[in-house]
Amino acid sequence: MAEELVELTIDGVPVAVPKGTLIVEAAKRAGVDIPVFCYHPKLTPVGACRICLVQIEPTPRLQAACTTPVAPGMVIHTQNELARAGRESVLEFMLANHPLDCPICDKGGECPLQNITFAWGLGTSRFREEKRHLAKRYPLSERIVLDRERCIMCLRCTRFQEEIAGDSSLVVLERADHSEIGVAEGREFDSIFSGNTIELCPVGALTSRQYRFQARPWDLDLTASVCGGCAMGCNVTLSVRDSELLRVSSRDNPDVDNGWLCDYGRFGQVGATRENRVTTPMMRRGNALVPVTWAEALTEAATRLTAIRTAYGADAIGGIASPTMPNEALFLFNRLMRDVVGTGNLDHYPRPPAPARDDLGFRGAIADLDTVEMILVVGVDAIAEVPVLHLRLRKAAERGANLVLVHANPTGLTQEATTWIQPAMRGEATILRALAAAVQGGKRPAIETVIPVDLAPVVAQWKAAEKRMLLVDPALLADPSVADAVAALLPAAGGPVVSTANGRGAIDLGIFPAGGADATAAPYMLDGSAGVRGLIVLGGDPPVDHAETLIVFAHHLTAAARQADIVLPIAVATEEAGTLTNFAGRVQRLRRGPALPGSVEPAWYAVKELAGALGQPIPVTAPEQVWEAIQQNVPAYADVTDAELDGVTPPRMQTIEQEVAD
Amino acid sequence: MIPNPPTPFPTREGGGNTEAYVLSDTTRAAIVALKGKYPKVQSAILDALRLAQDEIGYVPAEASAEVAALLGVSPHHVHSLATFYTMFFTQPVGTAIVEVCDNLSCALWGSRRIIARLEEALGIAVGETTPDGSITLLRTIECLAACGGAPALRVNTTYYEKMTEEKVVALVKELRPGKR
Ligand code: SF4
Ligand code: SF4
Ligand code: FES
Ligand code: FES
Repeated sequence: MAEELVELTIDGVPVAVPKGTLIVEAAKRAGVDIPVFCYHPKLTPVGACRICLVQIEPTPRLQAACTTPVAPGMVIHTQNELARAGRESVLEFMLANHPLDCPICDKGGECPLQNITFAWGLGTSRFREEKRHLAKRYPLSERIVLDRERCIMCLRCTRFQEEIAGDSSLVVLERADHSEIGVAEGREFDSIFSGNTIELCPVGALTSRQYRFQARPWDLDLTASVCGGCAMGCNVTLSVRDSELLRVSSRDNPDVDNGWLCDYGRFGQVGATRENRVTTPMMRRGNALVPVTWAEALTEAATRLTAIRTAYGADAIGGIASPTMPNEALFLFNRLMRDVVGTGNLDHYPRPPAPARDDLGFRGAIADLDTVEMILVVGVDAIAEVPVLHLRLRKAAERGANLVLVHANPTGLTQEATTWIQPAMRGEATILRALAAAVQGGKRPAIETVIPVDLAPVVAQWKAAEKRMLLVDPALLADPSVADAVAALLPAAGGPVVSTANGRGAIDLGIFPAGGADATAAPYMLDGSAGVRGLIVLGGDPPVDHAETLIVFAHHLTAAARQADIVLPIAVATEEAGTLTNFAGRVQRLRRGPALPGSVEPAWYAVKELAGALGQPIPVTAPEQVWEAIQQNVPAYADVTDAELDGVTPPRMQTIEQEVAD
Repeated sequence: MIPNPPTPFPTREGGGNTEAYVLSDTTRAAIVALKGKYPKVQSAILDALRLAQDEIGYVPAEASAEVAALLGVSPHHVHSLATFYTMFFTQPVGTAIVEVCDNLSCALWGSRRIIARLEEALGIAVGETTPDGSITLLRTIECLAACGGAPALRVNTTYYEKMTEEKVVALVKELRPGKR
């Protein structure tokens, strides 16, 4: 389908753009910079701020470039006397009541209002009146504070919450010149996506309480990384000053996050670098854990493990990794357990109960959600498990995709779904089997005869849809009959939505008991029934019930670490260099933002050191080398390119200028 | 301070349950019945708010929250609408609500003096309610579409036109409790 092109000129530059393009977007193609405040490419245009006024010949009146679509032969001026005067007036009015407290404003230095005033403003004001005074430092939630004097009523924040998050948790109160941003009386701005409004706000009206007064933007070092919060793998920018992580912000990747983050990824990760850290190796002396050197801790660990192996054999030792650890750490942990210690007692925890089945891997990509006609979501509560996926599912539903939700309880998506099938307890499995049987037609008899819901319409839609995606809770796949059903449905795109940050990586790298032996799965190592005497825990906080010798690689002083005999301090995601694999199988690069606190080491390095202490050094010196080894050993990762690893957007400040330049 | 614990994530329907209802069962049932009336449930909010105000006399925060819970919409959105429309009151008001036009025609015909006289006769300023709770001099208002009878004012739904200072004083007497 060839797009119909419309030709026009902007400031004398001829451009041809698809019909329906807004002037503001056409200008980007012509290399012309039209300033905007309220316009945002991902939100419905409202024309609220008027800064984008341009002259369109022959109309003598200025028109908003962000709400006017192009028309053939348009001649547009953004730099003539009329347009300049218009912009100056708009800014003069905007600043009439703006407090201009830039010196103490967190936005100062990356503020569109500052930048646009600098570029286009009059530099002076004719207003002599007292400025309007409104609430400053008004806490909207634990996370966000509002300065009403600074607000320019662009409505980006409220549009985001309504259109993208879909929860209308931030709204306009009152009307006209009394309008202000706020929430219901006695309530908080209680959205899991609230932090995005900080980045969207083109002034310092919505700011982060966590980052408040911590830095000036020009003092920040920016690092491109990915979020280690869940399996979505949102791309992030880490802002660091004086070696400390001060904030996490977005780094738009249309294939993954579409530019949004959830509040855990944004705020929780900053807290995770600071609180409850283990910053030095420790060893148990009596009842207490006392700080020791790495050498002491590693020697002691090696001595104890060797003693166990000598007395009871290698299978008296087991290893449990957290599926939040980067691929590099998991890969070396695998080597440590299988080659160095010499046992198949290896697992990750928590993990879905089913062993990985080759025909059940995720197919296609997250971005396919933008084009599929039908999406079948079974047992996945996206907003609770992989929050930003919820936004993509909402977006798909908004664009008209047929979203069928099978979930026993109401989830965040219930209201967006075209159809919500609410099975009884554990009924998701029944529904999946019945769907697969019905879709396959006469090939196989339906196992269940009594189903409380009529699946015929869904079956018909699924058969009719050309492009469709299935998202399924991996826990359901434990039942082989459900796994078969999913396999039958899966020629469509999709697959299991593993929710832990690198759960998919742990599966791909084979962090499983040898030969899929259930007897030594993580729960049995933890409760002692697998006969494991020496347990090595890599990250996370599995519930250890029984271990004679417990060695924990810990990022925080978790319950497991407090029980440990030897604690080895490792980095959290924002401090790691390496890779994470998201639920759809996309491998992405983690880069270290802040400095490692105390004598913390990256997890891959710490694991390698333990192997060395056990007398079998692994000859790697950088995470990139480990990644090369992974590419050679894991076929699915062999073809991953650097471009894929790095994402599309460089690390960036929290300002909209970059978007204009895109 | 971790501002937000990693789990559980708040859900989009967070809260909404009011322990003690402020609306009667009849009103609650009527609000629930509104749900199917519009293609989008959001459209029912104004009707629901009107029912709430009819019952209580104004729309307290608890009533907004109850409307939101009954319709299954964002409580913030309901509050936004309740504050946007001037016919909804989020604070208690008197039985008689006086609104005076001070738009162009009425201003030219002396609405300023009418307002001053009203304030004096009632002993309250614009935006206030008499101590006995009977009369609210709510606000000055934009054109009442009664320019031909300027200066004009409105008491609840009744229009009073061609007002003079004397007529205003008489009106206030009439509005006092016991007189109506
Ligand atoms: S708070 Fe910020 S984003 Fe929201 S309307 Fe005001 S200026 Fe715009
Ligand atoms: S959705 Fe997951 S990956 Fe994305 S910001 Fe939130 S926790 Fe991080
Ligand atoms: S009116 Fe066009 S950017 Fe605000
Ligand atoms: S100006 Fe007062 S009624 Fe029109």
